[in-house]
Amino acid sequence: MTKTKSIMLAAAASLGLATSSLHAQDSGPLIDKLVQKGILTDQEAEEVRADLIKDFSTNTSAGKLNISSVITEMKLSGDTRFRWQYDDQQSQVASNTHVSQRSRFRFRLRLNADFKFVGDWFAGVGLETGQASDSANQTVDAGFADSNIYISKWFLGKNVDDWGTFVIGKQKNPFYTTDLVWDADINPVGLTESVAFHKLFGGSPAEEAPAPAIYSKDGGYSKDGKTVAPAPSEPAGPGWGGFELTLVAGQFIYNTDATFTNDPGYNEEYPRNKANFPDSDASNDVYMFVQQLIASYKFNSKTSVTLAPGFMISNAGVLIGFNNETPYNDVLTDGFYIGASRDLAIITAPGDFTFPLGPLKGKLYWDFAYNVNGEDRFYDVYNFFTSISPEGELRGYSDKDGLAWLVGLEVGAGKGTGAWTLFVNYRETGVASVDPNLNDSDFALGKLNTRGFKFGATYGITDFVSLGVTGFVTWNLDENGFSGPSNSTAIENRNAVNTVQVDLNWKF
Amino acid sequence: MKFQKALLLAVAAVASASVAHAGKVVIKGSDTLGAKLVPQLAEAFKATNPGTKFEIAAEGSTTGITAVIDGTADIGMSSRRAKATEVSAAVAKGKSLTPTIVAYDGIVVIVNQNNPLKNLTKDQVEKIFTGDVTDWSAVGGSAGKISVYTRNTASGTYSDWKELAMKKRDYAPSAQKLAGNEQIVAEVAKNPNGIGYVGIAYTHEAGIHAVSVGGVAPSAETIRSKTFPYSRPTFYYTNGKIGGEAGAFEAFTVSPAGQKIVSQVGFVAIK
Repeated sequence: MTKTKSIMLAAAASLGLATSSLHAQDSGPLIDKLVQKGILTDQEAEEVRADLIKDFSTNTSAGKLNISSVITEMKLSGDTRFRWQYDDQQSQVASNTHVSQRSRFRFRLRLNADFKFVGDWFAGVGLETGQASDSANQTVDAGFADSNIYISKWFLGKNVDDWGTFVIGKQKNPFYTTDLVWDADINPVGLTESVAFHKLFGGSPAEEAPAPAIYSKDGGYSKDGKTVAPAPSEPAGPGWGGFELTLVAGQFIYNTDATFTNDPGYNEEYPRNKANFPDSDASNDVYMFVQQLIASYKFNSKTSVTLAPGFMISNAGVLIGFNNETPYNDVLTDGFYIGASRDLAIITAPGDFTFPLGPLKGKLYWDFAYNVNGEDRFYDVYNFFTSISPEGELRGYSDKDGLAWLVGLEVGAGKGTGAWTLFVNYRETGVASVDPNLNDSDFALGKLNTRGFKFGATYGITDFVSLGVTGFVTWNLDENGFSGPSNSTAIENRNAVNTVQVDLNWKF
Repeated sequence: MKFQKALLLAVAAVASASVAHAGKVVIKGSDTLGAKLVPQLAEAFKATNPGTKFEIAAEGSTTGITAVIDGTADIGMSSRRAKATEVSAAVAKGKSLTPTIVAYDGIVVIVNQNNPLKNLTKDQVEKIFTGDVTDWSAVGGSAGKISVYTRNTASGTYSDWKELAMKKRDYAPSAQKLAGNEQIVAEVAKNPNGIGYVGIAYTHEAGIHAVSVGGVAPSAETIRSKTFPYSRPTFYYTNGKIGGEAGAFEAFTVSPAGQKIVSQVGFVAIK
């Protein structure tokens, strides 16, 4: 072996070894290049490779992992939130007294493992605290009690080139939405499909476009559900010149063995009521079908607009309970079982306009939801045919009962250390407009017939630790309107609910 | 005294057991190497070392490397590099897997001799073996359902092929797994719509012909120069540098005499 060769061999070996064993397996191309140049023989190269692999395998934690060769990438991540929350509920009808004042320390822990497989398959699992579908919060209990952990996600997906994504299982909500309709903590179960038409028909992109709306890392939400999903922040550059069009559809299993048998007979006393009795047929299930068209146009790198009209519908069912604060607790109203997913056929239309605000980034965002079956839901689910106002009048349906809307403004200065964001939004939620099992569980504690403001601020202490403060000032949309179905706890039977949350978040 | 004698006998028995396979060279592993090449090398070696006995078992590279780790073989034949997990397992048992390149091999696509196809692109090869393409007409051949033959999962060639030709994707669900190169040759020779892959040493069998890939035909020159896309070294794995008869056999394999046999069998010599 010549002196030069010896030096190069030693250099190659020491490079691989000295640059941390984590890089041992990355040295293959370097070794190949040295062989190509005739500095190493193949045999010498194999010996160097063997030494590097041995070092990697014995001196690093990663080298001891036995990960299937079909997995091309594994990502472990998570976040924790420690929250102090105070809420004050005031009685609606009686005397505006404080019927409930709570101060709670809560935390949320979420752990994710995401896998990429060969052939553009992917999968993931998630674990988190909490038990309710719409909240991973765990209240800190007395006596330093330990907490439970639950399976929050399990899914398998397949990407088709760059235009299609298909996912089955319990997954992050893929829709562009706000917490007016979907609480950010809810991970629906079922099938979802996403087709990016601008990629399917738009030809080769001039530059890399952002990931499709479905199953992006952050899903369709900000992490705490305070804001709408972000518009693409990078130049899209697809074949359609900055215009993107994506169809997202979901077929979800909302509940099993829970549909109702409809209309056993006309009820003279309650003519509007369809007398939905519980169904003992275990083969009947409740499904939800959601479809949405997400259209966005990027004027330049800082200005864009996104519109995302959609439609969601459920087959009727006796979903137990419809109180978002304590979801899925059955409620018996006036002798009839009620179906929380019944008479829900909702047109949705969220959107945003993102724009520069000096050195800052501004975003005007909105959402709209109208239940075309709102009148039926008003009477059949909430039994307002029995609702007598304090003045002794029957409370009838009005259009605002089936309508929910939101408009908000967010101003921020990027992400990471020292970054801050301010936001405020106002919303009104009619009593028959949205599914209270799905909407924001913090705004008026998830109740309906509400209106009010949600506002807050976040500040990045470091790249991975942030502090947030959120306030909710909410009150009745229709004051003193509901005295009949007082045990229908989805309805805002409070005059006002005011809440403040202080959060310390850290992610890893 | 009787006790001391018994103790000595017992110690001797243990000592002889710990000296690996004294008088016999145990070789396990790759079918690619073990079906033809190594037996012929062993015969040639025995001609000058008549006292040496060989035990050769060709059941796939994984079995060879595992046998070296377990101490049940002196030499592990392998058509792939040892995995990091195998290296870890060896270290855990106080072993040091040491590779020696003994020959170069090309994994060659073969089709039935009546199949007119002479060349495939790398993309077409990938699509055929993953099942994306299922009819010969899609790759320029005559219409007919493609029958894919692969090695079984213990084979180093099985995993090498996924890495070299299939971007680590799964084989087509309809692919039939066979034990060795000779079985693949036999099935492709029988089936006009068959396709498989074998070591270059097996490409001159009756009833089949090799297919060029990207316009490059498999040959000693293209494999040694690595211009043929599915070229690979083949190995003996040992526990460190070994001596004794196994060490002598290893030295013979890489000697000019041994490499001459390598070429005769159809592999590509290392020099």
